[in-house]
Amino acid sequence: MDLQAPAASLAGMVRRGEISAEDLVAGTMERIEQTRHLNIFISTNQDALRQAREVDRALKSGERVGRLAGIPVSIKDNICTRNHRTTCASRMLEDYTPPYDATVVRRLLDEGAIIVGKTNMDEFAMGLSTEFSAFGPTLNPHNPQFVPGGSSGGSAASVANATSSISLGSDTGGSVRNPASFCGVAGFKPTYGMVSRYGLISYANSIEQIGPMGRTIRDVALAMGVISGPDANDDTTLRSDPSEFDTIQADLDGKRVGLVRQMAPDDMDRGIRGVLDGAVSRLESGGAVCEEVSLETVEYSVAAYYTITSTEAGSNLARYDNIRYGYDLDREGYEFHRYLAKARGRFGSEVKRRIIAGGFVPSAGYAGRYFLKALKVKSRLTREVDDLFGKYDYLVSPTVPVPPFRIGEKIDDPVALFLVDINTVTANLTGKPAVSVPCGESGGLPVGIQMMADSMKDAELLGAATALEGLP
Amino acid sequence: MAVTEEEINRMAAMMRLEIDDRSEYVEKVQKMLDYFELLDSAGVDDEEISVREVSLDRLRPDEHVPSKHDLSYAARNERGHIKAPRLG
Repeated sequence: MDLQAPAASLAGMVRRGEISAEDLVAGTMERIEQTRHLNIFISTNQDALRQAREVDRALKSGERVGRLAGIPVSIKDNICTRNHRTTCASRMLEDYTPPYDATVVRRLLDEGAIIVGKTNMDEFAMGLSTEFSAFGPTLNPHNPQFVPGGSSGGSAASVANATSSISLGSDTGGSVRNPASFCGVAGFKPTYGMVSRYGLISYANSIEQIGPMGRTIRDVALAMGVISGPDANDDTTLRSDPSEFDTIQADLDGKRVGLVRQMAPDDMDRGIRGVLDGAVSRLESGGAVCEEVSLETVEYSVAAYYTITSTEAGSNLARYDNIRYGYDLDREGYEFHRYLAKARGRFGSEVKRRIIAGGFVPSAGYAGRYFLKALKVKSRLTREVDDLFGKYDYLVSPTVPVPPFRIGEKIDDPVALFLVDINTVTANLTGKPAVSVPCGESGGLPVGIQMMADSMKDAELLGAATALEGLP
Repeated sequence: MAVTEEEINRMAAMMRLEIDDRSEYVEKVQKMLDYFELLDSAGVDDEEISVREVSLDRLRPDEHVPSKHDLSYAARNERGHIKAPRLG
């Protein structure tokens, strides 16, 4: 059985009885065991095989099965799964078992998907290399000496490694697209509000979205057709039509594409430049008109992004007081606040740094200097991007302007890590949809190209992105 | 701004966070704040802070939707209340 086949093909084969869901899931679980050294999963679902047999039984007795019946999916470990540990890769939530499913998880299960496990990530999604996990780093399946990207590194590695057909990650500043690029899979950050965040453990809730990863853009669209749409449990969700994702097509004729100058600097890695040039040729041969455009505020976007996210993280992570959530720590002998500080000492160092920075930037005396300026940069960036979408259908750039780096190479320099985000944070700060398409290699490691579109044009964007697939 | 150990201590106390290696936090938080100062050169002083506008027809109807799940089932219940641990 070809575990690397697209989810859409595998789903058809299961439905037609050409393969059994049990064999598919058993093969996937076996591969998870064989590749444990990559540290992709924080936990696996011990009930997966029984659930797969249930799909086979339903098929045999002619019952209706869902679009993802028997398909092995993995879920980033910051998305709640009922009665299954959800740790955020943190010692703080090491034993947390949610009493409910996230809306996206419920929708996948309702379509017959089999959750094989919960994937590794940077603690509380703060990072872009999956090195800041309390459970150790995930290794890149293409070369285990390199990072898989992050923060949804386990999810991307899982799809690349054929230990799930589809995975859900979360994208606050590129956390789906960056690892998709580094691992050579497709990854999508939807329009803000397109996918419910109910059950996603918050890091910076004003800009983050859950997004799917798959081996093909069509698999990403298949997942979007299942997980998107309004949700009464998340009032930021927008009315949309999930069936749009069923009929995506690569219609590039006459489309105008802006190549963002600031996202492809002259001194960029030559391998990545070559991949970008190849992608532009492909778009042009499909009938698109490509020209260089300028987004002046991109230069300040990463500083604005980290100012805003640190502030929201400081607030969102205040709930981890070891009373409502936490771990077993004896309260005897502690004064109230000392107890909280002691318990919260279990956060990892990167999370603590961001909480402390998130205390500085919005506090009295500093707010005008950092936080308000960051909000103004976000406003100007949004205006510039909206102006460009008045003239162009898509904005294109490398997903990440540097190739995958070695494990440990950048971990000690927070600012060096920040700059890896420069091409991805714009979509989050402006709420736009953006997809990373695997388009080639640099130095033997995958390179993704990012396409961004205007809000609510998610299905059209995925259609256009299929034109880039299959580049060498 | 210059980050000092005193400032880190104050902020850690405010954020209810016990930290060990203060000098490491001084160095790395300083690096972060230095980078954030790039915002000074963005020239956005006169920019208005905009909010994301969403037209009403994109939002769900303003109606009560009963919850399908009672989340308290997993908590330790006592006479209809949720029991929380005692704090000294």
